[in-house]
Amino acid sequence: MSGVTSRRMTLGLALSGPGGVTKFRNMLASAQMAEGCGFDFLWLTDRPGLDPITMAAALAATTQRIGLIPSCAAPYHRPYNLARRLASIDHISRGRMGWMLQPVADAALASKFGNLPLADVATAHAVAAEFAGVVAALWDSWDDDAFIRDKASGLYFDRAKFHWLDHQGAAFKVRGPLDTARPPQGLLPLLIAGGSALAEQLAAGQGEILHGLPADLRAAQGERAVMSRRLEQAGRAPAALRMLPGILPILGRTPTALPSGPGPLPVLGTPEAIAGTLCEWFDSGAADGFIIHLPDTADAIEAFAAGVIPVLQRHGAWQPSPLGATLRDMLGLGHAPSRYAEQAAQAVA
Amino acid sequence: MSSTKRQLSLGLSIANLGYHYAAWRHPGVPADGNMDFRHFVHCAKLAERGLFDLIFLADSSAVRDLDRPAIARDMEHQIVKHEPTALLAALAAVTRHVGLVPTASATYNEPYNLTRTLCTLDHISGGRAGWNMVTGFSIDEARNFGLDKLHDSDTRHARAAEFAAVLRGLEDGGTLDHAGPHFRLRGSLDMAPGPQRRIPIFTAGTSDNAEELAARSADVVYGGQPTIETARAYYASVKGRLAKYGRSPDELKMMPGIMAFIGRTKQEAQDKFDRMQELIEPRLGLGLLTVSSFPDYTGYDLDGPVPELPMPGGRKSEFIDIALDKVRRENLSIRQLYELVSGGFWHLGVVGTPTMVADVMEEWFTTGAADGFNIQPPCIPVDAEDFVELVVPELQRRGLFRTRYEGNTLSDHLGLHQTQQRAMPLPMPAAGA
Ligand SMILES: Cc1cc2nc3c(=O)[nH]c(=O)nc-3n(C[C@H](O)[C@H](O)[C@H](O)COP(=O)(O)O)c2cc1C
Repeated sequence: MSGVTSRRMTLGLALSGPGGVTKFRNMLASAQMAEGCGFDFLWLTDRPGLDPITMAAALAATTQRIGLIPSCAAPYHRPYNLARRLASIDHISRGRMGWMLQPVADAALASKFGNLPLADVATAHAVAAEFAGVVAALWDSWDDDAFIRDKASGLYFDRAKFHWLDHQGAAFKVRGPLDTARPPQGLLPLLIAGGSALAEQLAAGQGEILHGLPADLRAAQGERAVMSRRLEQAGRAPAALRMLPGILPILGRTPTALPSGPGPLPVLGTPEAIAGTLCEWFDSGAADGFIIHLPDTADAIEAFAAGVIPVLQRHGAWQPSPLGATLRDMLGLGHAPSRYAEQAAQAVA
Repeated sequence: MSSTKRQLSLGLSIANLGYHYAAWRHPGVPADGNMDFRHFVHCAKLAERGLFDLIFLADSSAVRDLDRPAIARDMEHQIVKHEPTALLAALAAVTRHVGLVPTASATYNEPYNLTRTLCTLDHISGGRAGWNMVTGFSIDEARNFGLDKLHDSDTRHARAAEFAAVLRGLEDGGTLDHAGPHFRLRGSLDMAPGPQRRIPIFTAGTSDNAEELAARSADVVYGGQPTIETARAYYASVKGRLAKYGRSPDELKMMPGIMAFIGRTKQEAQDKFDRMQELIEPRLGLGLLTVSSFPDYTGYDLDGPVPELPMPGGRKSEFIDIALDKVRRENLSIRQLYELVSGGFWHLGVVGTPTMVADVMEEWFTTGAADGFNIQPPCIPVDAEDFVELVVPELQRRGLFRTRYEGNTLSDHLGLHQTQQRAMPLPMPAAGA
């Protein structure tokens, strides 16, 4: 099987300031534009202003096909609360939810939660790993076929098909089960922002999307190699984690002042040139797709999409996902069976 | 009709598939509706068609009583559900007028996060957000948040009062510098105030602590009162506490629950009720008694007399005494006891014609028992449809309920906008504002 033609490039979108998110109407316009242009998902980064998770819920009801990935700062959530909120939105959106877990709290946000001490970075990552594990396990509380709902006999659910969690770890103690049916996707794709060894370790353990920040193609290839090793150590297949480097496209012929420092990679040029770079990275295997960083305006989204996406499509790298596709489908991850179903299958085998 | 005339406030409590224990078995109820967004869209639009002030989502962050298999659960169809703030944010996008009131616990949330969520809901909905502030009563909930036992009532209510004060300090866009026994926080929401600027807070509960919290912090109280006498006493007791906080009686609305079986004739209503009672699985009926703190009658003849068993844990309850008294006087069987308990034991229950239902509501409304009601349909959506189509027009005919939405926000609907501009006093000294 030729790796180049059977793979499908995933295109995510991250929007940034000038200011915070003050009007839902604007976010809705951006999300609908992104959906119309064919983006596979919108990453709702935690900018000042409206809460990304609540916005994701409202967007789930006002969009049809785009995936939604809100940022969640681990120190400020409790696993049970977050698990049910995200599961709920996965049901509402029919399987289009993901989540981004941010292990370390923004210092500005920290003072607003004055009674929570800031952990050191290593501890914060350990807590985030435990957090992600608890959330994923809570989603498996009820088997996919736990609910019988037989009106005639009066049997609503099968008592053999739910699972106590009884988690007791260093940071959390959670009994379960979750009070939400297993989300349509089973497991919501977890996005981790790369950039450090700790983050890569977290992504290798439980992430399904890595937003990397390589400075060039060589670095992206290097990161892929590192992650393949880390995934292997974690007992996971290399394809279990989708590598989506952050790209900051700058449309135009004349070089402008490029942003410097850590952040998404600026890619400058005509739409054809930018599409060419993306295809080169994709074809080389260094990336499974990209997270495109754009200013938060419908015009900016449209300008990028109208120029670049048709070229990607002509190249055969990207095509629109069918209506009804889940976020896992759009990422090529496939349905996630419950851990208990897997255990049962292993016991039989 | 003048808009200054006192009118009823109405909420539609969408407890998934209904308040009746066998609701999901009714042919008009989608048995899988509790996770199906379309079911809730239908209900929300129905509430809006009926000009309701709000839709209300009760909640607890747990599956309750699942570890008592011998007992069976009281409401199996409520085991899995949506998270209220998420569901209502989604419903905000497909409705225009109706208020949206999620339940969220002050015990298992943090004030900054929840205030941000509620203010976001207020922005998304154009000023229709409310908050039902609960403190938690379930050990199952506590265990999902690292606790082995429930915090005592004093602690939970003190935390809730401080939580509400923090919300009030943050929601209008100001910068708060707060240091109290439960929370320390400094900063602002980084958000323009929501259209309401002040999100209506709902509470429920009959303990002294719960009433005090209501008087201090609530705009609306959701009561569970089975008779007009208890409802009047509760109404007077909660409103009587308001002066202490510099509030006038009309600054707080009392909205008890009402579960109505409605028929075009009395017989039709009675038949509906009887059909639902027959659908209660005996296993569930016995479970219902046990989770309501009656003894466990498992193993006894369902159609025989109710045996004299010791109360579990030696507990005493006025409600149970009343019920057992009735059992003795009327020689009721175990089956009849659980049917009694299931049919509006906690809340006001009415079986009758639209006129009869409206009569009861009018009497409560005009004689100091209620300012409005939280409608608890036995089966959803079918009984909510009946309420909207049959009872709402009757209430309108009597001038007791609006004939169109006059305002845009939940506060407008509840009539809270003129009286609630004043900031609420903080329960403890707090620096800054
Ligand atoms: C009508 C009514 C509805 C209630 N709904 C909820 C609810 O949805 N979720 C919840 O956690 N508690 C609910 N409660 C419980 C109260 O919030 C409160 O915790 C309870 O009355 C216990 O108070 P206490 O500890 O002072 O006795 C409700 C109470 C009443 C009376």
